[in-house]
Amino acid sequence: MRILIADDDVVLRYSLRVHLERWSYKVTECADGHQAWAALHADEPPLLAIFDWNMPGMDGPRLCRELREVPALSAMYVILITSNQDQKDVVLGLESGADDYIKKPFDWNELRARLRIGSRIVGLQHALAAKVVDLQQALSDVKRLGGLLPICAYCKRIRDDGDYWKQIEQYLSEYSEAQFSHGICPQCLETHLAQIGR
Amino acid sequence: MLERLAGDDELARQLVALFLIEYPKLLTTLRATIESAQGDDVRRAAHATKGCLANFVESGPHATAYEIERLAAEGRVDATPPLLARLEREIAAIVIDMRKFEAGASCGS
Repeated sequence: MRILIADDDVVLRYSLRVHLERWSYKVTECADGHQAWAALHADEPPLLAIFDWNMPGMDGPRLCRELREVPALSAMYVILITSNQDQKDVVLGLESGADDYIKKPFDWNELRARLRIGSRIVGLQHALAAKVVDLQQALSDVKRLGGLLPICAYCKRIRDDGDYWKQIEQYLSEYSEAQFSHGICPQCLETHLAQIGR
Repeated sequence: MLERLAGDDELARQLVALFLIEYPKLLTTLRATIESAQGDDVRRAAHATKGCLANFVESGPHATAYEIERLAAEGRVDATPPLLARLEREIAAIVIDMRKFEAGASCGS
């Protein structure tokens, strides 16, 4: 999982990168808020981020506020790190849109555990989003089957949205999980045997 | 210092090397902002210095940098030059320890 770290402290940034790579994260490093904002708009934005509170350019809380306004970034899990020790800063940081807040100096095992929580939440959000897409597709198919279907009175073909007439089996297979096994019902068997007999 | 890195000597050595490159720049910036008496710039420079020191120590120069940051936030930049001098002495002391550590001796901080 890719993680963005933004901190102007070159020593902490290096230490973070080493630890995160040991924990199998892919790391994007930024030295200030503007670099971080640009990195957030990469083709594949990271799913996790660690922002320092005080940085040149945009500070951590401002980055949080602005990324929550961007739909593609709004689900990102963000941890703010800061040496601000005041309790009201914790509230301010979380209200800016951060998901978690760690005071410096922090314990590396604590950071690792908090990142695991973030990874789990991001994973759940993605699984949930995929389920929503599946459900929307299923709902759309059910609505289609439940609506008015134009069917030929003679051959029983159904006209689809593309104006093609399809065999009823083909149509139902496309919009449902139904599968067909072909046979002949007794009534048809009688009719057709009579025709063959003639 | 090694306590925070759980005895990771190799990483500690790399971080020390980075600090030895970085601290002169941090002190130069802090000194310049104090001389120009720009309160908010002093606060930011002291905060950055404090943050970098926090990777290694939690008292001594770290506390002094915090005191400069606090005074600057209160608009009392004129009270910071003696603290800057103290900070420079304290950093010089840990730099001696760091150079010993780099050379293979144990770092006492």
